[in-house]
Parts: sequence; C-alpha cells; structure tokens
Amino acid sequence: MNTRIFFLAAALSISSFGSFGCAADQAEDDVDNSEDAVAALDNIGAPTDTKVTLVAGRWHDNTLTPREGWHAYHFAPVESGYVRFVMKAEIGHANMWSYLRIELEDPAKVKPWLHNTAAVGNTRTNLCEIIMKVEAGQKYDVITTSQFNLTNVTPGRHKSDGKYTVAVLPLDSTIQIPE
Amino acid sequence: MHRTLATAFLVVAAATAAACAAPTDGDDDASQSEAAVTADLRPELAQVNDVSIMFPLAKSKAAFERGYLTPASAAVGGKLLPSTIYERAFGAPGTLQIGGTPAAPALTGLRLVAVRFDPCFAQRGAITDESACKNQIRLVFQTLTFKDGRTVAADDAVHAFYAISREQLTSSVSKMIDLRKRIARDRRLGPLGPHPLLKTTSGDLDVTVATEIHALVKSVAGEQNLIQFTQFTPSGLDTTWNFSGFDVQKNAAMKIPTLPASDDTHVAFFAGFTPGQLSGDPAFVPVSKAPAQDNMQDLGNQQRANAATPESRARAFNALLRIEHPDLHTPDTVDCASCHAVEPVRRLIGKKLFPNDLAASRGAFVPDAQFVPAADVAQATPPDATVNVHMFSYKASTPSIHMRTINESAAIVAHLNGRILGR
Repeated sequence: MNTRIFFLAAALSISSFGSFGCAADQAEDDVDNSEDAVAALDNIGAPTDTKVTLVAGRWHDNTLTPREGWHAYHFAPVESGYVRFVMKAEIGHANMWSYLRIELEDPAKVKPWLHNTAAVGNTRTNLCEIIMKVEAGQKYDVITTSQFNLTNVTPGRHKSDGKYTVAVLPLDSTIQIPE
Repeated sequence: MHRTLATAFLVVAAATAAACAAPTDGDDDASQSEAAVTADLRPELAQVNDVSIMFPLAKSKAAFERGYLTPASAAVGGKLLPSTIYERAFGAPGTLQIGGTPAAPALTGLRLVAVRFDPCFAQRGAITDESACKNQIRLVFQTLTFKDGRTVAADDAVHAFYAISREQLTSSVSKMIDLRKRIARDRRLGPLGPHPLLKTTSGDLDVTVATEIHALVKSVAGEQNLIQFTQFTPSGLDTTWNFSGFDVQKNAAMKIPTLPASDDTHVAFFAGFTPGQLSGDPAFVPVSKAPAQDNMQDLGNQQRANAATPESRARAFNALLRIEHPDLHTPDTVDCASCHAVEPVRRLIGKKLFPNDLAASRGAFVPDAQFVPAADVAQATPPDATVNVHMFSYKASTPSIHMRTINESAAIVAHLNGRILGR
C-alpha cells in the first residue's frame, strides 16, 4: 500500500512536467490537418463528454483518437469516503500514456482548488491512479487523456490514439488513510 | 452375457473413479480421448456428449456460413432469440450497461456453439418428484468471426434457456442417441469436447450432421418457450467479465443470487492487469453474501488469498468444489461471477500458489459410476493459462469446458439413464 501511495505522489509530482516519450512520431494518416479541423479538437477545457456515469467497481473501455483526445466521464458517489480513480492503457504506445484529471463539478466555484491530476509514472504498467476523498451528493468529472496531449502546448493535432480503460474503485480495505 | 460384460466394465470404471474429479493436464489428454472411444456396452443409454453438445469451430468459409444457427433462425413460435426481447433486456444495439460496461453482444454476430439438455434444471439433491422437474434446453451463443481460414470466438457468450416438456426432452436426447448409434455404432464418444460426430475427417465442422442437430433444436426451442437469457462481455482491456440476465416471464432483469438486494442484477469478475495472476482489486463487484462454506471470493485475488487464515482459505477451497457440485448448487444459488471464476481460481491460485490446500480440499462431486465412466468426466481440453471464464464455449479458438459443466452433464446422464431412459 505504501508503494501505491508513493507511486501516486511520484505521478502527481511528475505530471506537471512530464513529457516522456512524447517526441515519438505517429505515422501520418488521413486526419484532416486544416486549421479548422485542429481548432475543433477537444482540449483540457473542453473534453468530449462521453455521457457515461461511472459506477464504482465497473470498468469502462474507450479509445482516444487524434480527433477525440480528451474524454470526460461523470461520477456521483453514493457515500462519502476515499476511492481510487484508475486509468490504464495498453503498454507500449508512446502516444498513449495514461493521464487522469478529476474535477469537482463546481459551477459556483465554491471549491475552485479541488482538482486532482495524475499521469502514468511507470511505463511498464501504463496505469495511473488517484486516491481521493469524495463526498456523497457531489458530482465529479473524470477526465482521461494521454500525457502527450497535456504537453501539446502548440495548437497541433492530438496524437493520443489507443484503447484504455477507466474505473472508480473502492479503496483497498487494507490501506489506512490518516484523516 | 451382455449384462456380465457391462458389470465388468462398470467395475473398471468404478475403480478409476477416484481420478475423475481431478482435471487432467497436458499430454495425457489425447491418449485419454482415444482410449475413451471404446465399445459401449449399452449404447442405448445416454452419454455426456448426447446431452451437452459443443459445435466445433469451422475451418472453411462454407462450413462457417452453413454450420451454425443464429438468434434469427426460425424456430418454435418465432426466432430462437428475437431482437425485440433481447433489446427489452439490454437496450438497442450498442447500449452500454451499468457504469459504462460494454453493450450486450450484438445479435447479428452470434452463432450457436453449444446445446445442453437438462431434465431437472436447478434441482438440488435427490429428485423425489419427476413431475416437478423443469425440463430444459439451453443454447449457448458466441460472437464468431471467420478470417484467414479459421473461426475465432469473441470473449463473450449469451445463454438462452427454453422450457420444454418431459416428452420433448426424452425425444430430443433419444434422437441424439440415435444419431450417435447411426454414425458411431457402439463406440463411446468419451469426455466432453467439440462433438466428435460433428467433425469431418479433415477436422472441419460437419455441416450435414450439424443440420440434423439444428433441426432438432429448432423443433423444441424458440420465442414461444424462451424463459430467460444471460450474457457476459469483457471490459477493463479484457481483464473483467460482466454478467447479467433477463427473465422473460417476469419481463425484468434477472436477480442474481447471493448479491445485495440493492445491487443484484449485474456482477463482475476483475482478474487484474498482471497476466497469469489474479490480482484484481476488488475481484468481485458486488461482493457475494454467500455463507462462508459456499464463498470462494477470497481466492479471487492472490493478496487476499495470502492474507487469509489457513482455516478460511481451506474453507474457500472447499467452496470451489461445492460450487461445482450439481447436487449442492445451481445457477439459482450461486452468483454468475463466482461460478465462472472457479476454474481460473483453481488454475491460477490453487495450482500455482496453494497446491497443498487445493489437494487437501474435500467434497468434490463424484459421478455415478454405474452410468458415467471415469474417462467420460475427464477434462479433455484443460482451459488455457489465461483467465478463462467460458464454461462450455470458446476462448478465441480454444474449447473451454469447466468441471462444473462436466459434473452437471454427468449428473444429467445418470438421471436420464437411471430414471428415464434405462427403465
């Protein structure tokens, strides 16, 4: 358990700087490279809403593409407590390194500080995980993308292109979180 | 004379019965299968392959196109599995299930890969009243595709259950026996596997024989007597299997036994992301509320199995055998995920990590040696090293038959031969 928490801390600290492997070129394909097309791509502020509400313990599979590089899911906890948000992608895809961002749905900006992010810290697993306390009655956005898109500061096309899976899981009962 | 030979055969069968509960491994299987195809001293009685029929995977495009029934095949009172009812259960094609889990398998891709007859479905213990039995035919569909000269099955399945009369049940099994006697004469067909009479000499699916069985199926099953169906699909990048079902008579989602009442219509088994291990956490969602003696879920995750006390671990290993025991448990008493996970747990937790505990477990089902030789309950094709939840269908192109299905088939044969056909 300590390993997991350590990994999370590492992932969180790396996530704002990380750019591992992102220089790898993706083969040119038939994606429209026009300015209009690029402008229409989703981004950190406007992820594609999947309309999927995650349920604790259930794994949802999806695919990120150069056109759809950010996905948003919803989660409404039934009870308050710690949960694990987990994203995993297939191993060996240089442009598909897991990146998760959890945002409290907070239109009134009562808690503007409440977002959590994690990027994959171990490319042998391509799994990233955020442990956080959630509150019953609140709603959370679970945003998935790949590390490349996060660091893709120029308005270029996304390069993430691959399958991944995402879930909200109950916290392992053996893990003790100090209050 | 006939009876004397039969008695001698049965003595031999009984002497080897001790081995029957243990799945066989590896190289012995081929020779065991060969040996099993021996003269049958009472060919008029049912064998396991007469009541549980697995269609081989086609090796030619022609056999693929003509050798399988589909949900849309015309049958009793309509189609085998009408889209109207299927969509009532799982929504329009592509509709995600609970929490974004995958849509139920698309009807258009499903093919009939197995058929099972049962004269007393979900019966536990001795049958005291035959008239109270639920006579049933179950059809197992899977998404099949034919590509590059071979058929491959998706990691999904749909089981459809049909209520039939005792006369239909008896007549159907008798037709299977007649088919065997006509083609194989007095040979025994051996343990369950892709049906030996459904293979051509080149190993392809025999469309002629398949068509005969199709006609039999279509004469007793269809929209008119469809009572329930279940499905499973994978998610979590092929590490999780999601189970649910629909009760046609109640027009409602099936309630899965032993689950919390507030969350009892879907259940999942998560194996974890490390190949060859069971590390899913949590392994089962929701967690079963079955009593300890019938609860194996601590063995679904190797860390939990390690952390368990020796006593509770031993109890969980015994629970594996209880869940596989057709006199102790039925689909009405065990949740789908636990039942389908027994074989992966035995292979990846029991054999690899706790072989002594596995060997020490007690309470395995023992087939009636009077009607089912030990050779017929061997696990001819052990499930592969991956996590394989297919109890009587295919993992990719590998036939997968769990001990639970073998035990059920043996119990059905004993019931049929002892109380119905052999009278």
